[in-house]
Amino acid sequence: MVINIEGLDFAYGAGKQTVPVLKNINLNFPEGEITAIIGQTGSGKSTLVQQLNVLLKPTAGEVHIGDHVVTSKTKEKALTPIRAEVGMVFQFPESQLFAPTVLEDVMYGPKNFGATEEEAKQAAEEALAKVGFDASLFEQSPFNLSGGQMRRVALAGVLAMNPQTMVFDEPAAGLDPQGQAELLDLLKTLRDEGKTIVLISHQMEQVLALADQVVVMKDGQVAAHEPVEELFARPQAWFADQHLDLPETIAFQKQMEKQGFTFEHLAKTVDNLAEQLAGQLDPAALADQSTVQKQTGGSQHE
Amino acid sequence: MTDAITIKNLNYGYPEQGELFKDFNFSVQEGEWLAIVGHNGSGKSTLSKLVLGLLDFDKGEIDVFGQRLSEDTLASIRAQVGMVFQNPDNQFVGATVADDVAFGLENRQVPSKEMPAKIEAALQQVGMEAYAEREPHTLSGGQKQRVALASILALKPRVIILDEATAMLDPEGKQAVMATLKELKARYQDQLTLIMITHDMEEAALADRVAVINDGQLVFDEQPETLFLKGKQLEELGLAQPFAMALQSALGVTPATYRTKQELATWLSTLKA
Amino acid sequence: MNNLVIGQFVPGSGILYRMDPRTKILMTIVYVFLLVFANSWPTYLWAAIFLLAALILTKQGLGLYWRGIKPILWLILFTVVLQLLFSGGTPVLFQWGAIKVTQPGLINAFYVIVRFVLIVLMSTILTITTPPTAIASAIESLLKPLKAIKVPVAELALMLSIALRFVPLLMGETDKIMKAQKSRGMSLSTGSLIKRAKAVIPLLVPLFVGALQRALDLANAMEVRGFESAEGRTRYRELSYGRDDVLAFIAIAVFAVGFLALSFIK
Repeated sequence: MVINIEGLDFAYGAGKQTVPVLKNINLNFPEGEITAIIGQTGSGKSTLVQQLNVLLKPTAGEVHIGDHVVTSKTKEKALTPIRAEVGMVFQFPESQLFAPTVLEDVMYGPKNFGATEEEAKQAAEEALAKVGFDASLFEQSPFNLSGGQMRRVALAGVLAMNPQTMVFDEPAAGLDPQGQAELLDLLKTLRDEGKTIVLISHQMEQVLALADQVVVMKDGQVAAHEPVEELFARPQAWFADQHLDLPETIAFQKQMEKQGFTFEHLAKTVDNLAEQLAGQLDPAALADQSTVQKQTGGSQHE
Repeated sequence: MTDAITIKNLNYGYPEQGELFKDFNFSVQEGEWLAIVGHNGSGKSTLSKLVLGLLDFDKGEIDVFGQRLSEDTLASIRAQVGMVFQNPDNQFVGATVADDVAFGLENRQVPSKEMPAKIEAALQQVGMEAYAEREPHTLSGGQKQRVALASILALKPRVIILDEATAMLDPEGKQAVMATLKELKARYQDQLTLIMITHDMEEAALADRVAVINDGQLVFDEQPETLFLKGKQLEELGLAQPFAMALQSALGVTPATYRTKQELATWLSTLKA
Repeated sequence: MNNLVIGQFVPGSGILYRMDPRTKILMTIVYVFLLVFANSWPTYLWAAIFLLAALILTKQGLGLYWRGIKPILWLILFTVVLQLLFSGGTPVLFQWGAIKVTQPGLINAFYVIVRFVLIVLMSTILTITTPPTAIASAIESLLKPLKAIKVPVAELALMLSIALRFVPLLMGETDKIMKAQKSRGMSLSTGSLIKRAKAVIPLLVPLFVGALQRALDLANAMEVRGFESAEGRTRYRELSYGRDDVLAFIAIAVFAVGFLALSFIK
């Protein structure tokens, strides 16, 4: 399913009192890829992705979602079926849980979109398994779970509808490192299954590890839209302009470049960075220096 | 140096999940900057709530500046220990920034005439004086947390506990809060004890001492420079390694002292073939 | 984003902003009370003049007030139609079957519009020039005598001001949960009445759970900052009557005397 945004403008409010948020957006989200959307708070990221799930309609321009075309004139009734095709995971999605049991909560979406009780149950169980949720907790109240478990139930609630495209707004916010790592794995698995994924993130590490394409938003406009390798090859000053951080590996790589090191590839992981660095280091000195350090045992950080 | 907080033989369990702390002992010295780290559910936040009497424990003793925590001393202890919570929205009591800072002063029965100067001074310390008349929903998360800090500073606390105060903020908000903390610490030095509960190792690196808690147990308790050398052991506890450590271990180097990113870059340059 | 003007504070600098909120509340009450007795065009005219003076003293553009009236135009129209159709008397100006419009009915309808608009505008002036917290503390101050009969006035006022503070937050939360459930296929506009009522559950439960969590967090934050009881606290924003308030009281007294005189002349 192809998603295209053509000449989209969006403003809140009506009449004289409009607040323009998005201006002249043209984007496409390639099938089976992860597109990350980054940008400062208030740059329009969340408003943009709500167009994909048609929670907001364009003020001008068109949004193509598969065979559907959404414009400012599209009727409210026509929007619901589109929502079945694009799943939306909001920031802190655990706040949407409501049912008496975990299983019932996850079944809510599929049932709304016409699944029978049996089908919904099966979809819910599969979705919960996918997020690594223990079957013994299916009949628990979602409100008795830990924060991390609630997050998974909420994710399963969207997964169970089996949408072709999934939008995640800061899915790892507030999770500890382990929880974040598990979430990244889940997103990779979904992509490998052929789903199209749109990811909003403030964490550049996540973007580097996951994204195929990156959209940079600034003041409601697209400041860049390119493959992740191209984006992070841009100079450091450009990122400072956008009020964005660089991922640590990339920042370190750029720093080493200034000191005369050369790199063939963009270092996507720490291991890859180490590999590219190691080739340029004197192996004997590396071992040596590490012993020298041991003897002097510096205390410069007191 | 005197102890700001001493915890002896603390026993505490959640009603439904069994025992969390068993004969737990810990102390915080006056004037130190301490980070308490651990994965979600390790008990690190519970500890701070126990110290402030927001949760009741089963057995053990907690002393704050020599005062034993009890019903009778609670008010006096809370007068010395301030706390910033995780959710910026849920701790904003006042209708405007100034009103929020005023709330604690009103509780302490500070005369109205003295309040404006105190509010102004507290807001200046966190760089929010220009926002005094703003309403909370017009502020960013980082700004709200700085107001929460000012609300506590106005009460002149000896200890400030930050309970995952940056966990819900974007990178910019996080940096602003951390920069404010550094300024405060530089300004008050030994007069202010900072306890920062977090799972962010870059934040922990700013502390003088890091305590790692796992399932209610104190696993490590040392300076960040030596703690970070443990590398993989931290990952097993559900924590991240600082970047510089991860890169060195990927290079096959086991350093004897901790290097910051900058120090690592300088060191590697000297090894260039 | 929020077009509703009624109940909204709009910062400004007119004399009405400097007045004590208690004065403004008392003035509004007296004004609305007197309007009930308006019975002739001179009384309405006198009331309208007083209102216009107050409007001008807020130093806000009239457009702001027009936006305040606009959302309730339908309500006014509805009341007018009722007045027109269901008041008797003679002469009959227009008749169509059982429906007839009489001259007294027409006059009455006109008065209803005027009264309605005057009351709405007067209350709008109060809320536009007075922050919600000031209204809460004014109510507390005005209700102080009730302490004698053990009404917890200070607690009620604090609850009111905290409730006001959380309104925008809960509105944002409602919007977010609504969107989350919509994207899971929630539809509030189809099906039978029972089905529609049931469809609201996925909205209400998270709202209540969220509000409860907020309340617990807030209670902790308040306790840690030394809150024990709403009694015996000092106030950052002390209420005090000033020169402007004396002027206001004189103005409302002149208005009241004039109004009563006009209503007796009839």
